Amino acid sequence: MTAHVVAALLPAALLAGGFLTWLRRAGHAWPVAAMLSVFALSQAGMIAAVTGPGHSLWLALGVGAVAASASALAEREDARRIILVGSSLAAIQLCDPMGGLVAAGLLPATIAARQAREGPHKTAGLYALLLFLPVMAALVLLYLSRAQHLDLARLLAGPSLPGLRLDVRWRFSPALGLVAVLVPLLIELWRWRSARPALFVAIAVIASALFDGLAGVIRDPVALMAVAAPLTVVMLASSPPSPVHDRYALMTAVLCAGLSWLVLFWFLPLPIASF
Amino acid sequence: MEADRHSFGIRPSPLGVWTRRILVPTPRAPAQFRKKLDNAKSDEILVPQDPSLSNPADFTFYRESLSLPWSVNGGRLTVLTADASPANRARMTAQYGQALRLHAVSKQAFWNALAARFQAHLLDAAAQDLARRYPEFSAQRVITRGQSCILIALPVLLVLALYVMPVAANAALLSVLTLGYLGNVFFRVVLVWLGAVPIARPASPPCDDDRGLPLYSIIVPLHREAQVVPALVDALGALDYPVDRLEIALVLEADDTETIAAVRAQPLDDRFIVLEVPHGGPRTKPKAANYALSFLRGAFTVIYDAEDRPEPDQLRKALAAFCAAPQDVVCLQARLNFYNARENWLTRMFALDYALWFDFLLPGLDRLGVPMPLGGTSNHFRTGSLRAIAGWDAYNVTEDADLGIRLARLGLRVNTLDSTTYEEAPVDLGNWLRQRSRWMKGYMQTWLVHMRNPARLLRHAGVSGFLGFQLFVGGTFLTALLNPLMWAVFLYSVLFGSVPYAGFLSAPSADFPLLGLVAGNVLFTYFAMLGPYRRGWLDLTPQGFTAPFYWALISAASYRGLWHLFVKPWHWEKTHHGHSRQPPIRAVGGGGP
Repeated sequence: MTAHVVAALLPAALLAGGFLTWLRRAGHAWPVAAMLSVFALSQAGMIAAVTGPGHSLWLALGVGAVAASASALAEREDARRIILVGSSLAAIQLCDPMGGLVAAGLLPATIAARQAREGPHKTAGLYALLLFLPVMAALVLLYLSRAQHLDLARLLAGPSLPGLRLDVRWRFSPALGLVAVLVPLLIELWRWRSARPALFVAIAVIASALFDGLAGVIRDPVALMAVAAPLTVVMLASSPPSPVHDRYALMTAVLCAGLSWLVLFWFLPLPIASF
Repeated sequence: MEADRHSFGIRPSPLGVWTRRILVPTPRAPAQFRKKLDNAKSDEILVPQDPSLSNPADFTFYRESLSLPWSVNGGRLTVLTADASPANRARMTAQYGQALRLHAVSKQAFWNALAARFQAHLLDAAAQDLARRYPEFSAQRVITRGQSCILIALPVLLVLALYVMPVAANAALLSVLTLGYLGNVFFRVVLVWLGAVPIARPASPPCDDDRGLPLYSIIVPLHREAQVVPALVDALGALDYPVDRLEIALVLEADDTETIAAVRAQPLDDRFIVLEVPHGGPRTKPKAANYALSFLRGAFTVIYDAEDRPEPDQLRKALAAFCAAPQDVVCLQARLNFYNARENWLTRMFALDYALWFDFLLPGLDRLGVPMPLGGTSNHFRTGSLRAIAGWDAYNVTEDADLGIRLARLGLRVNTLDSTTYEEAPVDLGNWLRQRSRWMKGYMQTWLVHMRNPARLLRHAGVSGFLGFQLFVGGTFLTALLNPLMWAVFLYSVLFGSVPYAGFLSAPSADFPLLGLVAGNVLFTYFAMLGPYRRGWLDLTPQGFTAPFYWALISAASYRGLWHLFVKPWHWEKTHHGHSRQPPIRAVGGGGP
């Protein structure tokens, strides 16, 4: 219990700090930033992580880091931002190998495409820089799973609470939940180029949830939906501040929080013995 | 006639001893001053020099006033001078007295006369000054008795420990190696991160008036580099700095007739001084640089290699940086890279290596404020400070690295300079190996010199400086020496499914060093790929995948350097230049070639 709390507090603190920093730096007013942060953090997956495995928090943090670093790199290219994108894509493999691979496949394209005018060799160089660390992380995981019999399934977003009634019938529920929550914001922000990298990360997360569903992998929808919070914040922070965007983002965060709690209670076994 | 025009210097007369015939290639003294001279009729003199009129104690005055007491004739002192301006004349009068007869000669002839008069003194100072003034910093003694004892005792104790208590000794040895290796990896991660963004320094005051610029001296030691002389003169001639404020010393070995002939064939203007270093003491670049330093009058001095192509505005940038920096910043290290970076695999890898070193690691050290080993060329100094610390160590074959550490130990600082000098990367393996062996040997020398008294080093450099020195200087050659062993262990584990020391350690402990090795190598490969990023050379990035093969070569060079440390510690293995098929181009700034 204590270990869970400690393990959950660190990513929770990082997420809270990240939310406020991203939003304030993007020029959003304190009340909007604070309100959005509170709603984003009050999702079922985030709260439940304090009492169970803190996996959903780490996953949310990883996805947020990928989205934020990609947005920062798209805004201005420098060596540090390249390192951040590469290392966050590598780190996300540890939380979600499938999502990490999909993100690694999608994201550099959005960034490196801008380099295409500088010639294929330089574009290849940028791809190599962005993909080297995630590919190495994937290879290490593959080696560990083969040679050291590491259970990769345990690395997937495990249940946010022990004993959830997850079965194969609900394998598409995470993807559907994310679509329901994120698509309105995606549509609204698509026209802003600066928000595209974060949107691509959101698409990658949805795509990986779909792939998992197609592959018959059962994932905890509550844990996976927790990633919608940082995505919402980063998407908003990387688009020009406007009241319309703020309303959409708040709506997304509230919707996400509400839906996550509903989903949690739907899958929760009764009585709540594990609490 | 033409041959005479290009011959410079002093030729021993058939009678020898102190009679010198000074031939002046072209009259250099301004006409308006020459007319006022007592003996303005001829620039050629054939008079005996009286060496008792000058002495080493006044050398600084001779250098600064460009004057040398030559002979006494009819009760009047004849002074050889390359500056007969009224101001200097007054200065000489104050020094030598009223009864003065000036003989104006060109600067080159003056330097030749000065060199001839003080040859033994200058040569001795060039080789021994550091050893006399700061014996603890000189590599003239390779290793102390205490260090020898430790280096012998350590392996003996280790073997004994492995025999007596194999499990504990294995665990301790692996722990030390792994911690050292991971410490080195972590330190480089920090340096890359810190060095990844340019350092914002306070802007320097603009200098609108070139007449206010100080005299800047350039030292270029050359040895068996006749083929690069024309391009060198062209590159130095392209430097954007007022001609009358620049002093370029081409430093040649007296017996290097080929390079001397190549230099004589060049139409050198007033900026250039040609100095011939007489034979004696170690034949090293630092000795030649020290020799030249004695002659130079600039407030600032920079050292370049013969094949260097500095960006034309480098001197102005350095001056601006010095003006903006505190007085304790006495040295600026410009960035280095290669104009023939894309010539072959070796040059590409070398370019990645240099890009990482100069564009990330050194700026990282600069930001951390830990001692920075200088990088051979394009080191800009406040001349006075350089003289005060006895210049370069003539016995150290990486005198640059040693000087950077010594500066830090003496409480002085080195900053990086955002300007690039392009060099020629060795295009063949033999040449590369010779150069890299010398560097590794020099790093070992430098480490041994500064670790003679670790407590004193700790006191001088502070904890971060001490650790930085261990990881950056010691870590560089130790990692290279250990890499083959660690890779051998890794290959063994892949082939046989367990590590060779598995019998002594439990599984997680036994695997940890290998995991560290793999993680470290992955990161180092990534850094090699990242190196060219800041230069915009992303086309070289995929070459970084082959970095492990390059590290194997570095390891080979390190073992060769280690061997040479014992058998010929002060031998300077010459790197030959001028072999590139890519023509040396003039650096233009920005992203470079």
